[in-house]
Amino acid sequence: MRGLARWAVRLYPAAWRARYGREFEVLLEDIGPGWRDLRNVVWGALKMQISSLSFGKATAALAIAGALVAGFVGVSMRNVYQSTAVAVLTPVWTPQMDRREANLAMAGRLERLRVGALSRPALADIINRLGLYQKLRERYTLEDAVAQMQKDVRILPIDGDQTGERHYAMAFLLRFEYPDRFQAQRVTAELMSRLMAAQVQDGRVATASLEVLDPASLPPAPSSPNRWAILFVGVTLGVFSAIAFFGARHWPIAGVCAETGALAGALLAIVTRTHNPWPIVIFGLVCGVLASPAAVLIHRRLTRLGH
Amino acid sequence: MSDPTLLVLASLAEGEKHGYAIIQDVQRFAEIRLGPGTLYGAITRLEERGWIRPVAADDRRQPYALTALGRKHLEEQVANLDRVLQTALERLRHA
Repeated sequence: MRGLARWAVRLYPAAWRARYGREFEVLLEDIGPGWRDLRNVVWGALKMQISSLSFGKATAALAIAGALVAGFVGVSMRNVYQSTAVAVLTPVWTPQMDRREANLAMAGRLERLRVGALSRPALADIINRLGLYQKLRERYTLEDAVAQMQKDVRILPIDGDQTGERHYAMAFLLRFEYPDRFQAQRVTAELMSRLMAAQVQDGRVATASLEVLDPASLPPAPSSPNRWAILFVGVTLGVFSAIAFFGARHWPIAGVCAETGALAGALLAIVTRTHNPWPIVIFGLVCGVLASPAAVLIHRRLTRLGH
Repeated sequence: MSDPTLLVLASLAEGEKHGYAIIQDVQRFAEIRLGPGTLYGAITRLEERGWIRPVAADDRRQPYALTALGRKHLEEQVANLDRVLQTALERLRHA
Protein backbone atom coordinates (compact mmCIF):
# COMPACT_ATOMS: atom_id res chain seq x y z
CA MET A 1 0.00 0.00 0.00
CA ARG A 2 2.88 2.33 0.79
CA GLY A 3 4.26 1.76 -2.70
CA LEU A 4 0.86 2.50 -4.22
CA ALA A 5 0.53 5.69 -2.23
CA ARG A 6 4.02 6.75 -3.26
CA TRP A 7 3.06 6.10 -6.87
CA ALA A 8 -0.11 8.18 -6.39
CA VAL A 9 2.08 11.15 -5.41
CA ARG A 10 3.15 11.22 -9.07
CA LEU A 11 -0.40 12.22 -9.94
CA TYR A 12 0.22 15.65 -8.41
CA PRO A 13 1.40 18.47 -10.70
CA ALA A 14 5.19 18.48 -11.24
CA ALA A 15 5.59 21.98 -9.75
CA TRP A 16 3.74 20.90 -6.61
CA ARG A 17 5.85 17.74 -6.32
CA ALA A 18 9.03 19.78 -6.63
CA ARG A 19 7.96 21.87 -3.64
CA TYR A 20 6.09 19.40 -1.41
CA GLY A 21 6.87 15.95 -2.86
CA ARG A 22 9.63 14.90 -0.48
CA GLU A 23 7.90 15.97 2.74
CA PHE A 24 4.62 14.47 1.50
CA GLU A 25 6.30 11.10 1.00
CA VAL A 26 7.76 11.34 4.51
CA LEU A 27 4.25 11.96 5.83
CA LEU A 28 2.97 8.91 3.97
CA GLU A 29 5.75 6.82 5.56
CA ASP A 30 4.73 8.16 9.00
CA ILE A 31 1.03 7.42 8.71
CA GLY A 32 1.35 3.98 7.03
CA PRO A 33 -1.43 4.67 4.48
CA GLY A 34 -4.50 2.47 4.11
CA TRP A 35 -7.04 2.39 1.28
CA ARG A 36 -8.78 5.44 2.67
CA ASP A 37 -5.54 7.40 2.63
CA LEU A 38 -4.73 6.22 -0.87
CA ARG A 39 -8.12 7.44 -2.05
CA ASN A 40 -7.53 10.72 -0.25
CA VAL A 41 -4.13 11.14 -1.96
CA VAL A 42 -5.59 10.43 -5.42
CA TRP A 43 -8.49 12.82 -4.78
CA GLY A 44 -6.07 15.46 -3.49
CA ALA A 45 -3.97 15.05 -6.64
CA LEU A 46 -7.04 15.50 -8.82
CA LYS A 47 -8.03 18.66 -6.96
CA MET A 48 -4.49 19.99 -7.20
CA GLN A 49 -4.39 19.30 -10.92
CA ILE A 50 -7.67 21.17 -11.41
CA SER A 51 -6.48 24.17 -9.41
CA SER A 52 -3.14 24.35 -11.22
CA LEU A 53 -4.54 24.05 -14.76
CA SER A 54 -3.87 26.98 -17.06
CA PHE A 55 -6.71 28.33 -19.20
CA GLY A 56 -5.27 26.71 -22.33
CA LYS A 57 -4.82 23.30 -20.71
CA ALA A 58 -8.23 23.43 -19.04
CA THR A 59 -9.86 24.38 -22.35
CA ALA A 60 -8.10 21.53 -24.13
CA ALA A 61 -8.97 19.06 -21.35
CA LEU A 62 -12.64 20.08 -21.25
CA ALA A 63 -12.88 20.07 -25.05
CA ILE A 64 -11.47 16.52 -25.11
CA ALA A 65 -13.83 15.51 -22.29
CA GLY A 66 -16.75 17.03 -24.22
CA ALA A 67 -15.66 15.18 -27.36
CA LEU A 68 -15.44 11.88 -25.45
CA VAL A 69 -18.88 12.31 -23.89
CA ALA A 70 -20.33 13.37 -27.25
CA GLY A 71 -18.62 10.42 -28.93
CA PHE A 72 -20.11 8.04 -26.39
CA VAL A 73 -23.56 9.59 -26.81
CA GLY A 74 -23.25 9.51 -30.60
CA VAL A 75 -22.15 5.87 -30.68
CA SER A 76 -24.85 4.78 -28.25
CA MET A 77 -27.61 6.39 -30.36
CA ARG A 78 -29.11 4.06 -32.94
CA ASN A 79 -29.13 4.90 -36.62
CA VAL A 80 -32.42 6.04 -38.10
CA TYR A 81 -33.13 5.82 -41.83
CA GLN A 82 -35.60 7.98 -43.68
CA SER A 83 -37.44 6.59 -46.67
CA THR A 84 -39.44 9.07 -48.72
CA ALA A 85 -41.95 8.98 -51.55
CA VAL A 86 -43.49 11.90 -53.45
CA ALA A 87 -46.98 12.01 -54.86
CA VAL A 88 -49.21 14.68 -56.31
CA LEU A 89 -52.93 15.31 -55.94
CA THR A 90 -54.27 17.00 -59.05
CA PRO A 91 -57.79 18.42 -59.15
CA VAL A 92 -59.85 17.89 -62.26
CA TRP A 93 -59.54 21.26 -63.98
CA THR A 94 -62.58 23.46 -64.55
CA PRO A 95 -62.32 26.99 -66.01
CA GLN A 96 -64.25 28.56 -63.15
CA MET A 97 -61.89 27.06 -60.59
CA ASP A 98 -60.36 29.60 -58.23
CA ARG A 99 -56.80 29.02 -56.89
CA ARG A 100 -57.74 29.52 -53.23
CA GLU A 101 -60.71 27.16 -53.45
CA ALA A 102 -58.60 24.56 -55.26
CA ASN A 103 -55.87 24.79 -52.63
CA LEU A 104 -58.37 24.37 -49.82
CA ALA A 105 -60.04 21.47 -51.60
CA MET A 106 -56.70 19.68 -52.16
CA ALA A 107 -55.58 20.29 -48.58
CA GLY A 108 -58.87 18.86 -47.36
CA ARG A 109 -58.53 15.88 -49.67
CA LEU A 110 -54.97 15.21 -48.48
CA GLU A 111 -56.07 15.42 -44.86
CA ARG A 112 -58.86 12.89 -45.47
CA LEU A 113 -56.41 10.54 -47.17
CA ARG A 114 -53.92 10.99 -44.34
CA VAL A 115 -56.52 10.23 -41.66
CA GLY A 116 -57.66 7.12 -43.52
CA ALA A 117 -54.19 5.74 -44.29
CA LEU A 118 -52.70 6.50 -40.88
CA SER A 119 -55.67 5.35 -38.84
CA ARG A 120 -54.97 3.22 -35.83
CA PRO A 121 -56.26 -0.08 -37.38
CA ALA A 122 -54.28 0.59 -40.60
CA LEU A 123 -51.01 1.19 -38.73
CA ALA A 124 -51.62 -1.72 -36.34
CA ASP A 125 -52.08 -3.97 -39.38
CA ILE A 126 -48.78 -2.79 -40.91
CA ILE A 127 -46.96 -3.21 -37.60
CA ASN A 128 -48.24 -6.79 -37.24
CA ARG A 129 -47.62 -7.81 -40.83
CA LEU A 130 -44.10 -6.36 -41.14
CA GLY A 131 -43.07 -7.10 -37.54
CA LEU A 132 -42.20 -3.48 -36.72
CA TYR A 133 -41.13 -2.06 -33.33
CA GLN A 134 -40.23 -5.47 -31.89
CA LYS A 135 -38.23 -4.06 -28.94
CA LEU A 136 -40.93 -1.54 -28.11
CA ARG A 137 -43.57 -4.24 -28.22
CA GLU A 138 -41.58 -6.48 -25.87
CA ARG A 139 -42.11 -3.87 -23.16
CA TYR A 140 -45.22 -2.00 -24.19
CA THR A 141 -48.53 -2.58 -25.94
CA LEU A 142 -49.48 -2.44 -29.60
CA GLU A 143 -51.13 0.91 -28.87
CA ASP A 144 -47.73 2.34 -27.89
CA ALA A 145 -46.20 1.01 -31.11
CA VAL A 146 -49.01 2.64 -33.11
CA ALA A 147 -48.45 5.93 -31.28
CA GLN A 148 -44.72 5.71 -32.06
CA MET A 149 -45.43 4.97 -35.71
CA GLN A 150 -47.75 7.96 -35.95
CA LYS A 151 -44.77 10.07 -34.84
CA ASP A 152 -42.44 8.40 -37.35
CA VAL A 153 -44.71 8.96 -40.35
CA ARG A 154 -44.92 12.44 -41.84
CA ILE A 155 -46.95 13.74 -44.75
CA LEU A 156 -45.61 17.12 -45.74
CA PRO A 157 -47.02 19.34 -48.50
CA ILE A 158 -44.39 20.41 -51.01
CA ASP A 159 -44.10 23.90 -52.42
CA GLY A 160 -46.34 24.35 -55.49
CA ASP A 161 -43.36 25.16 -57.72
CA GLN A 162 -42.40 21.52 -57.74
CA THR A 163 -45.66 20.45 -59.35
CA GLY A 164 -44.70 22.05 -62.62
CA GLU A 165 -47.45 23.01 -65.01
CA ARG A 166 -50.21 21.08 -63.28
CA HIS A 167 -53.20 23.29 -62.45
CA TYR A 168 -53.42 23.84 -58.68
CA ALA A 169 -51.93 20.45 -57.95
CA MET A 170 -50.73 19.69 -54.45
CA ALA A 171 -47.57 17.63 -54.20
CA PHE A 172 -46.65 16.02 -50.91
CA LEU A 173 -43.86 14.07 -49.40
CA LEU A 174 -44.50 10.88 -47.47
CA ARG A 175 -41.68 10.13 -45.04
CA PHE A 176 -41.11 7.26 -42.64
CA GLU A 177 -38.22 6.92 -40.19
CA TYR A 178 -37.04 3.56 -38.90
CA PRO A 179 -33.79 1.93 -37.68
CA ASP A 180 -33.88 -0.65 -40.53
CA ARG A 181 -33.53 0.96 -43.96
CA PHE A 182 -35.22 -1.91 -45.85
CA GLN A 183 -38.17 -1.86 -43.47
CA ALA A 184 -38.31 1.93 -43.82
CA GLN A 185 -38.64 1.56 -47.59
CA ARG A 186 -41.17 -1.29 -47.28
CA VAL A 187 -43.39 0.72 -44.91
CA THR A 188 -43.21 3.87 -47.06
CA ALA A 189 -44.28 1.86 -50.12
CA GLU A 190 -47.08 0.23 -48.12
CA LEU A 191 -48.32 3.58 -46.81
CA MET A 192 -48.26 5.08 -50.29
CA SER A 193 -50.30 2.21 -51.71
CA ARG A 194 -52.77 2.69 -48.86
CA LEU A 195 -53.06 6.37 -49.75
CA MET A 196 -53.74 5.34 -53.36
CA ALA A 197 -56.36 2.84 -52.23
CA ALA A 198 -57.99 5.46 -50.00
CA GLN A 199 -58.10 7.88 -52.95
CA VAL A 200 -59.80 5.28 -55.13
CA GLN A 201 -62.35 4.52 -52.40
CA ASP A 202 -63.07 8.22 -51.84
CA GLY A 203 -66.48 9.12 -53.19
CA ARG A 204 -65.15 12.33 -54.73
CA VAL A 205 -62.64 10.48 -56.89
CA ALA A 206 -63.80 12.30 -59.98
CA THR A 207 -62.61 15.69 -58.69
CA ALA A 208 -58.94 14.80 -58.25
CA SER A 209 -56.32 12.22 -59.11
CA LEU A 210 -53.40 10.93 -57.09
CA GLU A 211 -50.18 10.09 -58.87
CA VAL A 212 -46.89 8.84 -57.45
CA LEU A 213 -43.98 10.93 -58.73
CA ASP A 214 -41.19 9.24 -56.75
CA PRO A 215 -41.65 5.74 -55.31
CA ALA A 216 -40.44 4.83 -51.82
CA SER A 217 -36.67 5.35 -51.65
CA LEU A 218 -34.14 2.98 -50.13
CA PRO A 219 -32.14 5.30 -47.87
CA PRO A 220 -28.40 4.84 -48.55
CA ALA A 221 -27.26 6.36 -45.23
CA PRO A 222 -28.82 7.09 -41.85
CA SER A 223 -30.55 10.44 -41.56
CA SER A 224 -29.82 10.69 -37.87
CA PRO A 225 -28.05 10.95 -35.54
CA ASN A 226 -25.73 13.55 -36.99
CA ARG A 227 -22.62 12.42 -35.12
CA TRP A 228 -20.46 15.28 -36.37
CA ALA A 229 -22.97 17.79 -35.04
CA ILE A 230 -23.07 15.96 -31.68
CA LEU A 231 -19.26 15.96 -31.55
CA PHE A 232 -19.18 19.64 -32.42
CA VAL A 233 -21.70 20.44 -29.67
CA GLY A 234 -19.68 18.35 -27.14
CA VAL A 235 -16.40 20.10 -27.96
CA THR A 236 -18.01 23.53 -27.96
CA LEU A 237 -19.72 22.93 -24.63
CA GLY A 238 -16.35 21.83 -23.23
CA VAL A 239 -14.76 25.08 -24.42
CA PHE A 240 -17.69 27.11 -23.05
CA SER A 241 -17.33 25.35 -19.69
CA ALA A 242 -13.66 26.35 -19.56
CA ILE A 243 -14.54 29.94 -20.45
CA ALA A 244 -17.29 29.98 -17.83
CA PHE A 245 -15.08 28.44 -15.14
CA PHE A 246 -12.08 30.67 -15.72
CA GLY A 247 -14.15 33.73 -16.52
CA ALA A 248 -15.94 33.32 -13.20
CA ARG A 249 -12.63 33.78 -11.43
CA HIS A 250 -12.27 37.25 -12.84
CA TRP A 251 -15.69 38.54 -13.88
CA PRO A 252 -19.05 38.82 -12.12
CA ILE A 253 -20.72 35.45 -12.31
CA ALA A 254 -23.94 36.73 -13.89
CA GLY A 255 -21.97 38.17 -16.79
CA VAL A 256 -20.24 34.86 -17.38
CA CYS A 257 -23.54 32.95 -17.20
CA ALA A 258 -25.22 35.38 -19.59
CA GLU A 259 -22.29 35.07 -21.99
CA THR A 260 -22.37 31.28 -21.81
CA GLY A 261 -26.16 31.21 -22.27
CA ALA A 262 -25.98 33.54 -25.27
CA LEU A 263 -23.17 31.52 -26.84
CA ALA A 264 -25.07 28.27 -26.25
CA GLY A 265 -28.16 29.88 -27.82
CA ALA A 266 -26.11 30.97 -30.84
CA LEU A 267 -24.68 27.47 -31.14
CA LEU A 268 -28.16 25.95 -30.98
CA ALA A 269 -29.35 28.38 -33.63
CA ILE A 270 -26.45 27.33 -35.90
CA VAL A 271 -27.02 23.61 -35.35
CA THR A 272 -30.78 23.85 -35.91
CA ARG A 273 -30.28 26.24 -38.87
CA THR A 274 -32.93 28.58 -37.55
CA HIS A 275 -33.81 31.46 -39.85
CA ASN A 276 -34.13 33.95 -37.00
CA PRO A 277 -31.50 33.11 -34.35
CA TRP A 278 -32.11 36.15 -32.08
CA PRO A 279 -34.99 34.71 -30.00
CA ILE A 280 -32.85 31.64 -29.20
CA VAL A 281 -29.79 33.79 -28.39
CA ILE A 282 -31.85 36.08 -26.13
CA PHE A 283 -33.53 33.06 -24.54
CA GLY A 284 -30.05 31.60 -23.85
CA LEU A 285 -28.95 34.93 -22.38
CA VAL A 286 -31.98 35.10 -20.06
CA CYS A 287 -31.51 31.45 -19.04
CA GLY A 288 -27.85 32.22 -18.31
CA VAL A 289 -28.76 35.11 -16.03
CA LEU A 290 -31.49 33.07 -14.31
CA ALA A 291 -29.06 30.19 -13.79
CA SER A 292 -26.38 32.44 -12.28
CA PRO A 293 -27.32 31.71 -8.60
CA ALA A 294 -26.85 27.98 -9.23
CA ALA A 295 -23.63 28.75 -11.12
CA VAL A 296 -22.33 30.71 -8.12
CA LEU A 297 -22.92 27.68 -5.89
CA ILE A 298 -21.23 25.32 -8.38
CA HIS A 299 -18.32 27.71 -8.81
CA ARG A 300 -17.84 27.98 -5.06
CA ARG A 301 -17.88 24.21 -4.76
CA LEU A 302 -15.41 23.79 -7.62
CA THR A 303 -13.15 26.46 -6.18
CA ARG A 304 -13.18 24.66 -2.85
CA LEU A 305 -12.51 21.40 -4.72
CA GLY A 306 -9.62 23.09 -6.48
CA HIS A 307 -7.95 23.74 -3.17
CA MET B 1 -16.00 23.48 11.84
CA SER B 2 -14.57 20.92 9.45
CA ASP B 3 -12.68 23.34 7.19
CA PRO B 4 -9.19 21.75 6.94
CA THR B 5 -7.43 25.13 6.68
CA LEU B 6 -9.02 26.33 9.91
CA LEU B 7 -8.13 23.06 11.64
CA VAL B 8 -4.50 23.35 10.52
CA LEU B 9 -4.33 26.98 11.66
CA ALA B 10 -5.84 26.00 15.00
CA SER B 11 -3.26 23.26 15.38
CA LEU B 12 -0.35 25.53 14.51
CA ALA B 13 -1.58 28.17 16.96
CA GLU B 14 -0.02 25.97 19.64
CA GLY B 15 3.39 26.06 17.94
CA GLU B 16 5.21 24.76 14.92
CA LYS B 17 4.36 21.22 13.79
CA HIS B 18 5.08 18.89 10.88
CA GLY B 19 2.36 17.15 8.88
CA TYR B 20 2.05 13.98 10.95
CA ALA B 21 1.94 15.97 14.20
CA ILE B 22 -0.83 18.18 12.76
CA ILE B 23 -2.89 15.09 11.81
CA GLN B 24 -2.53 13.67 15.33
CA ASP B 25 -3.29 17.00 16.99
CA VAL B 26 -6.40 17.66 14.89
CA GLN B 27 -7.62 14.15 15.60
CA ARG B 28 -7.18 14.81 19.32
CA PHE B 29 -8.89 18.20 19.62
CA ALA B 30 -11.49 17.99 16.81
CA GLU B 31 -11.92 14.20 16.46
CA ILE B 32 -11.42 14.60 12.71
CA ARG B 33 -8.80 12.59 10.87
CA LEU B 34 -7.30 14.66 8.08
CA GLY B 35 -6.20 12.55 5.12
CA PRO B 36 -2.71 13.24 3.74
CA GLY B 37 -4.13 14.70 0.52
CA THR B 38 -6.51 16.96 2.43
CA LEU B 39 -3.77 18.10 4.81
CA TYR B 40 -1.33 19.02 2.08
CA GLY B 41 -4.08 20.68 0.04
CA ALA B 42 -4.70 22.90 3.07
CA ILE B 43 -0.97 23.46 3.70
CA THR B 44 -0.47 24.49 0.04
CA ARG B 45 -3.29 27.00 0.20
CA LEU B 46 -2.27 28.39 3.58
CA GLU B 47 1.32 28.87 2.44
CA GLU B 48 0.17 30.55 -0.80
CA ARG B 49 -1.86 33.01 1.27
CA GLY B 50 1.06 33.66 3.59
CA TRP B 51 -0.77 32.37 6.67
CA ILE B 52 1.83 29.70 7.45
CA ARG B 53 5.53 29.28 6.62
CA PRO B 54 7.95 26.37 6.59
CA VAL B 55 10.57 26.46 9.33
CA ALA B 56 14.01 24.85 9.53
CA ALA B 57 13.81 21.08 10.14
CA ASP B 58 16.09 18.76 12.11
CA ASP B 59 15.02 15.69 10.17
CA ARG B 60 13.21 14.87 6.90
CA ARG B 61 9.88 16.05 8.30
CA GLN B 62 9.01 19.63 7.36
CA PRO B 63 7.48 21.67 10.19
CA TYR B 64 5.27 24.71 9.62
CA ALA B 65 4.58 27.74 11.78
CA LEU B 66 1.80 30.30 11.87
CA THR B 67 2.69 33.74 10.45
CA ALA B 68 1.43 37.02 11.93
CA LEU B 69 -1.06 37.24 9.04
CA GLY B 70 -2.21 33.69 9.72
CA ARG B 71 -2.66 34.42 13.42
CA LYS B 72 -4.75 37.50 12.58
CA HIS B 73 -6.92 35.50 10.18
CA LEU B 74 -7.38 32.74 12.75
CA GLU B 75 -8.40 35.29 15.39
CA GLU B 76 -10.99 36.76 13.03
CA GLN B 77 -12.36 33.33 12.17
CA VAL B 78 -12.55 32.33 15.81
CA ALA B 79 -14.31 35.60 16.67
CA ASN B 80 -16.86 34.96 13.93
CA LEU B 81 -17.41 31.39 15.06
CA ASP B 82 -17.73 32.56 18.64
CA ARG B 83 -20.43 35.05 17.65
CA VAL B 84 -22.35 32.32 15.84
CA LEU B 85 -22.02 29.94 18.79
CA GLN B 86 -23.09 32.58 21.32
CA THR B 87 -26.12 33.47 19.21
CA ALA B 88 -27.08 29.82 18.80
CA LEU B 89 -26.69 29.17 22.53
CA GLU B 90 -28.81 32.19 23.47
CA ARG B 91 -31.53 31.20 21.04
CA LEU B 92 -31.53 27.64 22.29
CA ARG B 93 -31.92 28.87 25.85
CA HIS B 94 -34.92 31.03 24.94
CA ALA B 95 -36.54 28.52 22.59
